[in-house]
Amino acid sequence: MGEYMDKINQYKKNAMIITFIILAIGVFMVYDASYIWSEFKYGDRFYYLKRQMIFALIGIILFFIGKKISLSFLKKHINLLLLISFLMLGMVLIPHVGLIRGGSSSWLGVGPISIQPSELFKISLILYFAKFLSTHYKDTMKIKSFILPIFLCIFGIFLIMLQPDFGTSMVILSAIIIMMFTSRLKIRYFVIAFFILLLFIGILIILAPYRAERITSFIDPFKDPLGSGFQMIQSLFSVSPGGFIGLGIDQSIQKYFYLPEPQTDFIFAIIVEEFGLLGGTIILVLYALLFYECFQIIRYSKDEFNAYFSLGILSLFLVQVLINLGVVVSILPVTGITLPLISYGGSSLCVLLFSLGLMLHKENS
Amino acid sequence: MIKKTMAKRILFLFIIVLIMLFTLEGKLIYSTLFLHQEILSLADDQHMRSFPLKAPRGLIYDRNLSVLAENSPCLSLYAIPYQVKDKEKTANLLANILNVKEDFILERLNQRSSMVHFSTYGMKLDYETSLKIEHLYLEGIYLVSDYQRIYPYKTYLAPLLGFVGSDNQGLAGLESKYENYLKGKKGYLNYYTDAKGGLFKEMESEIINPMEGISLSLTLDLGLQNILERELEYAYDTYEAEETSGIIIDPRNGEILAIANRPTYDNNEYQKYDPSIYNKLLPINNSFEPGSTFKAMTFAAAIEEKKIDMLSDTYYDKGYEVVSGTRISSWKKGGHGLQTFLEVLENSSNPGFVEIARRLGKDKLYEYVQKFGFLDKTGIDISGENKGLFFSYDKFNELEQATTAFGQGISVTAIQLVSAFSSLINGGILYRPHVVKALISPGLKEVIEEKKPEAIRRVVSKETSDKMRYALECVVSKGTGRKAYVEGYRVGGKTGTSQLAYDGNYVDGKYLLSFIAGAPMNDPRLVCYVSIKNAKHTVQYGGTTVGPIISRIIHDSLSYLNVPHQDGGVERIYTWMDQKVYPVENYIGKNKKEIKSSHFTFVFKGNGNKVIDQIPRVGTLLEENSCILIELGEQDELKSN
Repeated sequence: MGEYMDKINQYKKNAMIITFIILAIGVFMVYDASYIWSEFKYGDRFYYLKRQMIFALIGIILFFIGKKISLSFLKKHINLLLLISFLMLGMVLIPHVGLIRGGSSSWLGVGPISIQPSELFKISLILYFAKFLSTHYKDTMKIKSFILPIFLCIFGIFLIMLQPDFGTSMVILSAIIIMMFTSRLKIRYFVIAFFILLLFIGILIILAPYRAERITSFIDPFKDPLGSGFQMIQSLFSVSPGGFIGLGIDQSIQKYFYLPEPQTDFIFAIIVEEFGLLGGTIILVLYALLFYECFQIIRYSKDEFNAYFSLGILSLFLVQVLINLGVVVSILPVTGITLPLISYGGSSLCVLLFSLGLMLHKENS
Repeated sequence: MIKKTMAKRILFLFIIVLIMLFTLEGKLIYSTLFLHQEILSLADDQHMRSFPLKAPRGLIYDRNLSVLAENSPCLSLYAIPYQVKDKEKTANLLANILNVKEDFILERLNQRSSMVHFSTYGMKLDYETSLKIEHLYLEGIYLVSDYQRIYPYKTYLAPLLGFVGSDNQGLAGLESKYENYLKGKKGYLNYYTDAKGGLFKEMESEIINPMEGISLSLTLDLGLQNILERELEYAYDTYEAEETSGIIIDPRNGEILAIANRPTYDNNEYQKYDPSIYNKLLPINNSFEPGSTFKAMTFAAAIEEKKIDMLSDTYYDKGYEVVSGTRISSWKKGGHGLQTFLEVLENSSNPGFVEIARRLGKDKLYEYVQKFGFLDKTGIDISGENKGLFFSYDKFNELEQATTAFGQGISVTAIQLVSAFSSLINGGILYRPHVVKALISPGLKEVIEEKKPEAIRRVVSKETSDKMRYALECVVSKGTGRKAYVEGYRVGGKTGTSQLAYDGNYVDGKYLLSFIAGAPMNDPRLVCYVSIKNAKHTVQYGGTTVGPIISRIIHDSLSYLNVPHQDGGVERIYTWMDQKVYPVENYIGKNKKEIKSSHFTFVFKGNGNKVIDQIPRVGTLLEENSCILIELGEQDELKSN
């Protein structure tokens, strides 16, 4: 057992180092990508950098707090945690209580401190599923046993959709599906689920036709270059001119107001524009390494609960990475999902670091 | 340790994630390396803004490189809206100077484009206006160098040259026809901007210099053009004509030496005229019934085909001929009686030409009409050429043949007529008329391409051509063309008078008076054609009204060209219609009593007995009974002079 312990602690140490490397690159790139807009909007080219540094600092603190928190403690109080999450998701929808940012009522808060209940819900739901899957592992052959968890999951997602926050909903749903995939549940359910998902997307498109435009524009962005294809084209105009080694540090042209808010969704485009295929590949490799370490951590987990929890957190993380990069290189339609650890954004960064901290907590039998 | 199924599925999951990462990497490689060039140029289009630098347009010269169209540097107003901070104030100031509504300027300044102009209000500003704007030092407002097209001869060459629009693009005439040569190539100042139109200070801008257009040298001779313009203007005013039209061509090669018409317009200020006048270069664009001028061609065909011997064959003109039941009369009541065919031409006898048509027959007549070029456009390098109108072969019956022989019932253009006439007297070759002589490079002013004369075909033999020179000279010396006679030069020509048709019907009392002539007939240097449409207050006969105009044009033109006087022409025969002309003798130094002449009258000025001066000088040709001014004085005064 001790040998396993050493191994898993080594993987966790590696994962932590890679996380901080990516985070450092992120902080620099937030500054590099944002200072033009920052100066234009706030008269201060360091506005986003300063905030991102504060977020990163808080995130790192939360990371180390997470490392100290015992998972069995959380496991015990999971129902309470889930209840609080649901209450907050409900509160956010009450007019004048939820804060509206970027068209969505996703925030709760007083003064400078504000949080996104959906972020808390993510972790609560994953804890809940981890507990459920690990305690009912034998019964997970049939979908029947999943009635309550699936109901809770869909209800939560439904509340998030009301904000509306399509991106976060998709990420949570994907993470839950991945967790269920690693149970004993028969594969055919996933095939069925896949078609249900298609139906779900279809309904969403009917409810809000602008999503259909996004999807068609991703196939041929030049059809509507100033409308739905605009962001795709601007992203391509960053990525392709980058070439093999890029235009050089700080030489991006697209960050000069061509890409809207280049420090968030399209930060990877700026990375490729300035550092080329080489820079882009390094980022991809770093993420791949991080995923690898995390998969190893899951394999060597001491019990199912730990494994499922880690897998849930990893799923949240990698789904966002894959979707964001997919959008930037024009494989996926524009979704509004940021690049974890690199994109500008306080709440999501802090929660991510905190959850990685939980996942990487030191194990001593 | 975790369960086996779970471990298996986790491994499977990891493989899927790896595949996805490889897909991303693959797309990244494709975008950065394979799409690189294509997207880079598209992205550059987005990032680069261009400031156009206007190219000076090619000039237009006459054959001696006198400038007919030139450029005058001026300034045009442009704005980069993003750089204009106070749009209201800027709009207000500019509106006051440019005399336009403030809203108009403001609307342009609010456009979401990288650069705007203010249409014609801001284009080609005069010096004073541009100075006023410059002194406002407005942010984002630029005065860009531009060129104003100047036509120094105004109304004189307008129908031929045409004009250019506000962007110096050719809109009419040669300016439009030769647009591709004249326009040059716009230059650009390319610079990188951010998405809001701001300049990238650190990015280098790139200048692509404008290229001046290629200049044209026309076959036109400004000296001859001025003569023709003067005479057409004179006829237009004097006879209150509907239209006058004229053309001078070099019969040796088809070069247009002068071409003009009235009414005309000033192409410097074309906006002030009704647009219907813009494309009226009558000798090219307009066709009409040629009348008797056409007889020259019929006559030549008959000589070439040996159907007549003009000196020995005779025709009795009883005053009319009947063709297919239609009576065709001679203009002279009772006819001209017995005449040689040369006299038929001299007298312009229609029944005589009916006989010539009969001798030629349908096929030959039709063949010559085609050979002389009346069935096709001449292919002159001027747009909008009219083709004229002729019978189809099937409908070319006896009556049509008869009227064609003396130029009625058909429609031709002046350019067809002068080209065909040229072939009669130049040795028998039909040349394609043209007006552009050479393309001249900007800067070095070297000839890039010279247009060579283009012989289309031989129409008649050298012998026939020589006979035609003599016959046509006789028309002017002895026949209906006597008014075109020029003392000292051998002129050959043919008159024309045709009734005008409006909406397809002949109108009584309205005529097209015309004259076509070549000179000097021993070695023709020019062919000149003039027509007057619906002249008033004058004899409705081409010979009488247009003859003197042709005479003046030929006299002045040949003098201008320094063509030496010729002797040995066909002896002039005077009729009661003509004034005889005599040379002035020298009277200076003579006594008052000696001053006598049977041809002239005298007016004396001053005191004394000796003639010290005379006007006009010795040798001047004066019409009979003209007046000569004699200045008298003492012997000494003469010496002191």
